[in-house]
Amino acid sequence: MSGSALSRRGFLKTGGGAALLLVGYQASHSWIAGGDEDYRPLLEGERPQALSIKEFAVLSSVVRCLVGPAQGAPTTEEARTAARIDRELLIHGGKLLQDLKDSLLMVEHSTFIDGYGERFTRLNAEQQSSFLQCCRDSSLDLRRQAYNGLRFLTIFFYYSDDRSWPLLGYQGPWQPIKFYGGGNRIENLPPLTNFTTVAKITSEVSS
Amino acid sequence: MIIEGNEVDRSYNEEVDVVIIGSGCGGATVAKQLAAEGHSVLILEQGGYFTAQRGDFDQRSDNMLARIDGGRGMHTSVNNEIALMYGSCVGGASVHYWADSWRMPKDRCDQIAATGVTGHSYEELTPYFEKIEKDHNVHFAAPEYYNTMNRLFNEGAETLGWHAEPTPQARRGCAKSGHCYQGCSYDAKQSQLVTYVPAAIKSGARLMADCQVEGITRNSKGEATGVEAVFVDRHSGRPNGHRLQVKARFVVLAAGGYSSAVVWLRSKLPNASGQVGKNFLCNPNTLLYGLYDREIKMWENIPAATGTSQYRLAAYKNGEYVEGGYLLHPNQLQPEFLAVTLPGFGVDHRELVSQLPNIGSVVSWIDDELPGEIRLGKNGEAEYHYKLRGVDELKARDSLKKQAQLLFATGAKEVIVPDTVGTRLHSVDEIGLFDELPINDGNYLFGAPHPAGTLRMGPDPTTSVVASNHEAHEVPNLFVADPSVFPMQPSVDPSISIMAWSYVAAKEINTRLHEAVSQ
Repeated sequence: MSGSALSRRGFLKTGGGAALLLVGYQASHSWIAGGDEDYRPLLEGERPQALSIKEFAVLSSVVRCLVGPAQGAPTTEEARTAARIDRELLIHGGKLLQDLKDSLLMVEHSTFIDGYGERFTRLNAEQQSSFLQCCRDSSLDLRRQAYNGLRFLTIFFYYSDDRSWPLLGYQGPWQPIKFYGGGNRIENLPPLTNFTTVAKITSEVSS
Repeated sequence: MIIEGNEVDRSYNEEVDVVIIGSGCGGATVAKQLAAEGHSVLILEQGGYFTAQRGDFDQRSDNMLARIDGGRGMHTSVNNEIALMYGSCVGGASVHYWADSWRMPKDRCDQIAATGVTGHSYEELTPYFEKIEKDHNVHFAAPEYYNTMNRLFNEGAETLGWHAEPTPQARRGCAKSGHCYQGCSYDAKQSQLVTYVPAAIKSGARLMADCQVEGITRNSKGEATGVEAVFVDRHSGRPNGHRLQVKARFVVLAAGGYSSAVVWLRSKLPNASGQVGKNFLCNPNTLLYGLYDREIKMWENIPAATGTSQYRLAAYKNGEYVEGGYLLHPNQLQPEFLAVTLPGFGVDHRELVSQLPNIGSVVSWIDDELPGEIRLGKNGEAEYHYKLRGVDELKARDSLKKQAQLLFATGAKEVIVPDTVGTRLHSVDEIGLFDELPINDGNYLFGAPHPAGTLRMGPDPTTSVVASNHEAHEVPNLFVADPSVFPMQPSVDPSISIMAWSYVAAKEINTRLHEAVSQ
């Protein structure tokens, strides 16, 4: 996504002004919006570089929902899809980054438009999927564009992970990979923090 | 000599006969010609230098978009309607083009001549076409290079009574890997990276990669005198602290159809006509997919060894659009990008991508007439404003119908529209839905690989930006050599046309340089 498509003016033009104001109101009140402490557990050990903790947590949830359940393929956490998107956003900066931030905020806080009582990250998987379907089918340009932008990045970064290729019936390239410092693959990412390890150990101990 | 950003450890001051901004089909052609004439030539390329020899073309879409694509594969128009497809690397967009190598058709040359442009008639360009075709080994692909989708395309065209013809290909020793769009790993595709750039270097031209032009400088008479530039860190895209100042007799703007107007505007060059950045055309692509009971694997071998130009020209009756106005070709996308363009998400999308080998596709290039505009945003960033509308929208809808007809004629059991909601057709009887299907405002993402028109050529300084000799009407000694100068789309893949027109520019600059020396 790019440009002012997600600008306030564009949104207002499509008749969504009131909804945007409500989204903004929700997002600006921490007791509704949620603070970092609410979102940190959703990071799965990732350390966002371009997005805030909250934005990254929302992105992780969106990515998981868009890719769907893993069967014979890595999960989006294993593929570190959200972290790869975050890395790409860091390199781009500017409007792409801002549009994504706006999209994530809107996804997290516009669930009420479709009658959900909780923000996106608190919905269950089925509700999240239904909500994204509402965004996809929305008559509001802004919601559709948010869906399209998030979907594009998610699908591209998930399916450019070599481990997903068997799902596609793709044998892979003919050439060996060459690391690129300006790239956005897993090998370009910082290592995971200990959070995941700690969480896993805790989980194993308690089980 | 090629100097890369990571080798630069100081700022440079250069003085040359000609400085050329951009190393794609336009810039490389001018550089090769002028260097061969003995002039000192410096080429500046914003992108990096990547080669097959070093193993840079590793055929991964993520790595390759990051290396060679202008927007790393992520740039779209402001309204999200078109995906900008362009190069940012030594060799420019030719590094990721499909090697389709058509001459600008005579009818289009005639139409352009009718606008008052001189020196670019089909007859005048023919010697250049011949030279370019020889230099780039342009030929028709042998049958072994036709992949399944190419063969199906021909069968479908025959069934429908359409005339299919081979697409001229600029290749030498093709390995059939199908990774053309990611940049050729075998130096087989005859991009500028392996043709005119090395030819220019061999004749003494120098090239600085990772070098971003900040502005074109002028003297008190308003003449172009050189450029100011910064070197950038290739990996982050950010300035590395070293600058470049070039003093030149002539400046050639050849940054490509998406970027030359941006350089002009950022340089704050005069624009009394108001035409700079206007007339933005982009050959929007419509994609359509067919699901077959057989394996297609569209990602193998040559993308478009065949196609049809039967509908290249739009047909009108009593002034009303009837049909046509596009080229039709088999489509090729590598699997990870193909997955992106297939609609849906979650379980539905996964079910669809699990059938990827059985998905075929046809693509069209719309010969667009109603332009958009390139502007600068408030922070100086490029903004691309484009909306498919009017007759261009009719062309797209007609093309989608023809694409669906061909897919069904070749045995597709279902046609998949890559629109936001994922529309599907189960029979050719349903193609009427393309008359009403929402395809604007981001409901359908068009590819846009052939930008043109934003510094258009013409005789009248009040309605055009450059004269027929490629020199800017308002900026003496500044020449433009890329598709920005086309007053209308070539109606075919533009690479050969860009090169041929750039030969005209090089000839004019060469004459002027000799005049300057003799004075």
